[in-house]
Amino acid sequence: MSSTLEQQVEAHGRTVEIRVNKKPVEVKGPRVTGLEIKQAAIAQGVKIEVDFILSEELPSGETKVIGNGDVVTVTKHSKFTAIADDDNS
Amino acid sequence: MTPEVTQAIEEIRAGFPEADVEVTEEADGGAVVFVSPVDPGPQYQQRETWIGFRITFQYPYSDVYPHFVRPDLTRVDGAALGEGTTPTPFEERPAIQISRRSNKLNPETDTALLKLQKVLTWLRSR
Repeated sequence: MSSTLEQQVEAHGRTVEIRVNKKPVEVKGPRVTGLEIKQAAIAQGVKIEVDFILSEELPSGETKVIGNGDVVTVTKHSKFTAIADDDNS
Repeated sequence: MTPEVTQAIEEIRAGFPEADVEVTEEADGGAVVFVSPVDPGPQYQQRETWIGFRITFQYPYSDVYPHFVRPDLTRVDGAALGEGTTPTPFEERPAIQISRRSNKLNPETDTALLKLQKVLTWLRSR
């Protein structure tokens, strides 16, 4: 377990397995920030970076952008996508 | 349209349930899409705009880029729209072009819906 995940265990309660870019990621929930989700995903081998844009895939098909400081309540059904930000051209 | 473009449009319809999604198929398998209305953010005098873009037949291996919004989009504070924006017609409509390129495009995770959300998030952050 990475130090980042260990810190989350201390700060939160139970482990929740969510999906980030379709890959399973364990976070300490149920309330977790966008930054914590990305840090947990990175620690568990998902190839993203902390400055990626995180979106939550809602059951309705809508998506919601989750900022680093935004707190979301996660369940085992929670799905997130993290993609690189864009550049002006 | 290619199956991938069709799926992208289905995802956009689901992602913007309150908006009208107008689609024009292109002979090569791509599509031109207009989503209306969307909220560009409180820093603009106009709180509604359409947003248009082309999903090419190469999708998801090509970026969905650029995007276009109403031509009269104006900031409340009177400042220019600034970098990344250019007045340019799109599909015979006067428009403001928003040039946000995905230089780290990942076809497995980058979708037309997420790109649209990223462009709107950027517009609202200006």
